[in-house]
This record gives sequence, C-alpha cells and structure tokens, in this order.
Amino acid sequence: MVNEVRERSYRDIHHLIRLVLALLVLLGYYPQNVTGMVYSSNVKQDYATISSPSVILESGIAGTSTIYVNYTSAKVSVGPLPSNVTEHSDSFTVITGSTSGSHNDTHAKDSVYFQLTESGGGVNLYFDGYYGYFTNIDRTGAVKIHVNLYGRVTGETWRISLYNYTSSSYLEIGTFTSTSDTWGNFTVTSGVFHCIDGDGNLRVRITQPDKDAAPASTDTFYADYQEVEITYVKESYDYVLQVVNRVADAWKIRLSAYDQSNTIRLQNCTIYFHNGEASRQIYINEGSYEQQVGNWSDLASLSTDYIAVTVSANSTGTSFVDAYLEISIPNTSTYTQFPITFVIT
Amino acid sequence: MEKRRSRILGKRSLKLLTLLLTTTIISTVSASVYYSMYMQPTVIISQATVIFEQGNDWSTGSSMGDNSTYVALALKAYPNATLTYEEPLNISNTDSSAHDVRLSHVSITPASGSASVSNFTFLNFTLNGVDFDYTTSGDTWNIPSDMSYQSLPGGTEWALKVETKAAGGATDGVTCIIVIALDVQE
Repeated sequence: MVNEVRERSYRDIHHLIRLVLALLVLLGYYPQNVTGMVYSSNVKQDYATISSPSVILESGIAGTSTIYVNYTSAKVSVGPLPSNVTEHSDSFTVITGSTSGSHNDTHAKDSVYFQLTESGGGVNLYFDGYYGYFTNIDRTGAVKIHVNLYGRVTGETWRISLYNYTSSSYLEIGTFTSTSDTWGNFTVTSGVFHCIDGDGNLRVRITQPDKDAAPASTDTFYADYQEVEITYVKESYDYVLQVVNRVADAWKIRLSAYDQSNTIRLQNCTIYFHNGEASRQIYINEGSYEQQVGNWSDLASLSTDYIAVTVSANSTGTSFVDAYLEISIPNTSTYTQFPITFVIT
Repeated sequence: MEKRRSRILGKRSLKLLTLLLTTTIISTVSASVYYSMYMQPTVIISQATVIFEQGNDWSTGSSMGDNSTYVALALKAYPNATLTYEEPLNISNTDSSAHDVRLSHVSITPASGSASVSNFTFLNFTLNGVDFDYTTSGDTWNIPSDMSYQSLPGGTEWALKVETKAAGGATDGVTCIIVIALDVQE
C-alpha cells in the first residue's frame, strides 16, 4: 500500500515537471513573436584613401613660423609686444609768460633749469606754454603716454595737460606743486589716439592759470628734465605664412578662429589674407572678437596667397589665437581644416 | 525425409511471416499523425521607401547602385587635417510615413592589427546630429555601437555628414573600406 502511494507521488511530480517544461518552452517563443520587426538594410560602402593635400602651408618672411609634417598645420609666433618710445621735446612755445634758458636744458637731469615764469598785470599773473614733440609713430599703435617731469615750483599749482587733436582742446593729466626738486609722473591710457596727430606730433602744456590773491607773487616753474614715453604696440608682420595651391583647381579659403587665451590684452589683432587686395579674416578689438570667421577668399589655380598679422597689446604677456585655415571646393560644402596657432608675445 | 523437409519449410515460413508482421507493426507504430494548414506568401517586388541620394558634396569616384539601395562613397583623408564632407550623401524617405533608420557597422578593412590602421585618425559619420565614429588607437579600430533608431519623417531627406582625418606623416594611397548598413524599419 505504501509503495503504491509513493509510486503515485513520483508520477505526479513527473507530470508537474513536464508541465512546467512545456510552459517554459511556450513562453520562450512568446516574446520573440511580440518583439519581431520588419526591417531592410541598405548598404553603404566608404572608401577613404589617404592623399597629399592640393593646398599646403609654407613659411612666411615675418615673425617665426613652424610648418608641421605634411604641410597641413602651422604655428606662427609674433612679438614681443609692446615696445616703448621715449622722446624729448623738439620745441617749446610760449603763449603767455616768459622763459629763461632753453627747452633743450630739460633733456638731461643736471640741475640746469629751463624756467617758466608768470606774467601779466596786477593779480592776473599766469603762464601758458607747451612742449612740442615729434614722435614719428603711427598713432593707431599708441596705447599709453607717460609724461615725466623733474623740477620744482615756487608756489601755487601748476597744471599739466595733453592736447587732444580731435576736439582741439586740452586734457588735464595732473598737477605739479612741489617746491623742492621732485618727479612728476603722469599717465594717460584713454583716448591716446587723439593725443597724437596723424604725423606723430603731440603737445604737453604747462600752465599756471590761477589768479593770485593780492599782493600778487610771480611764480616760476624750474624744469630740470622732461620726457614723454609712448607705449607703442602696433606691429605688422607681413607675411607670416603662405597658402600655396599646387594644382590647377581653384579653391575658396578663409580663416576661422575656434579658440584663444589671454586675448584681453590685445588692443588690436588683425589677421588677414593679401594677394594684392587685403581680406580681413580675424579681428580682435580691445580684447574681444569683432570678427571670428573671415569671408571666403579666392585661391586661384596654381597660385599663392599670404597671411599677414597686425597686432597691438596694452601689456606684456603671451596670447594665443587658434584658427583653422579652411579650404573649400567652390560651390560645395566640402572643406578641409588646417590648424594654425598664432602666438603673440 | 519429405515430411522433415516440409516441417523445416513450414518453420521457416512461419519465421518469415513473423518477421513481416513485426516489420509492419513497427512501421505502423513509427508513423506520425499530422495535419496541414496552408500558408501562401505573396512576395511583390517593391521599391525601397528609404533610399540613398547623391548629396551636394558627392565626391568623384563614388557610385550609386541600382535602385539606390547601395552606394560606394569615395572619400579622401588628409594627414593632420580634418576634411569635412557636409553633404556627400542624402538619405531620403520617399514614403509619406515616418520610418525609423539607423547606421550599423558591418565590416572594416584593413582589420585591427594591420599596421595600416594607424595611418588613420578618425572617420566620423553624423546622421541627424547623432555621431557614428570610427577612431583608431594604434593599430586598432574603435568600432561604433549600432546607432539608436532615428525617426525619419515622411517625405524628408537627411544629409549624412562625414569627417576624415589621417595621422600626421600618414602614407599616401593607404585605403580603408568601411561597410555600413542603413537599417530601415518597415
């Protein structure tokens, strides 16, 4: 009897196992049917062949250029910037008052004084005159003017100004009051362009315009030394690279800046093509891009175009402009990018 | 004597009969029981609804197969310079309904391990803003995973963008062949 029950239990277990297995098999098929999809495959076969470029980069004659392997990338270094120009006076013009000695006496700090003295009647004594300088520089490259005076005055406040050639007026840059020999250093960084004329002239005016209280005293400026120091940072590098078309096909080319660092010090940085006519491509003005991508320019069959740089900076340092020279097949959107790094020190 | 032969023949006949009967029974037992339902597929030749079309940057040496379901693109790669084909090939959905499409890798030659592989830096394909990039690490290709399906609206054409770059100092004339499937869900 016991054996019979045991046999029946075994049989039931076998049946159960079979049932579970059958269900698993059925469930295995079930998801496949549900997730089935119909799709076709079109085939695309790409043949990419390494080729020498038809257009290459070659070194320029200005700055320092490094052409990397295959002539498809380059580094250009220009600078250093900025540079300073120091000038002594070329003349002195008296408007009101009198002078003793020569303005040339102020070209050396030697206790030989050029004396500027008030004149006028009663309490209306005053002095007005200016040093004239000829700097022979392009004012578009000037970013800073220092006026340095050494001497003393007998009293009252003497005023120092720069002439603004655009507004035809004077801009006061400081005062001089010391009654013992000392330095007066005055700096202008704003509107420098206007303080130099197109020929490179500038004027430093010295006045004592205040009315005296009675009884009037005649005041004198004893000038021992004077100079103007102009921070002149514009440099032209023409040309830093050549773009050489080695084949009979014509191309379109342009420059496109894609990265940069420390460009805030760049007052003006212009990178342009020229082959006869200039085509500005990248332009940074007072530290910011005004043009980051140039217009397409023609590169004729078997011809050479040139890349030139004009740059000015208001401080020392190193700036980087990373750009691509993009070379396009005319009337298509197929183009090659040659990386070029411009390093401005 | 005659009687003995008859008895022997009788026994042999009986054995033969038994064998025949057994065979018949076995045949009967192993026969399957089945019935048939009929499925009648009708296959109609149709034009593919998503096809290749030449783009504005169709390059010289490229060829389009019959029915625009196969294309061979001839591309260049310049050493140390990125060459971009913004629109060498278009993928066009000629149907009014949207279809899901994707790129999937099929094969590449030369295979990883070949010294020629290191001549290439990358071959990047972009479809609908989704990248499908082949890059190299030494002599090894980094093969992209199959792209996720993108819904290509009906009556719409997408440009396939390709960027190529060879390694600095790469050898002129080295070629790689990449076979890519454009999978289209019906």
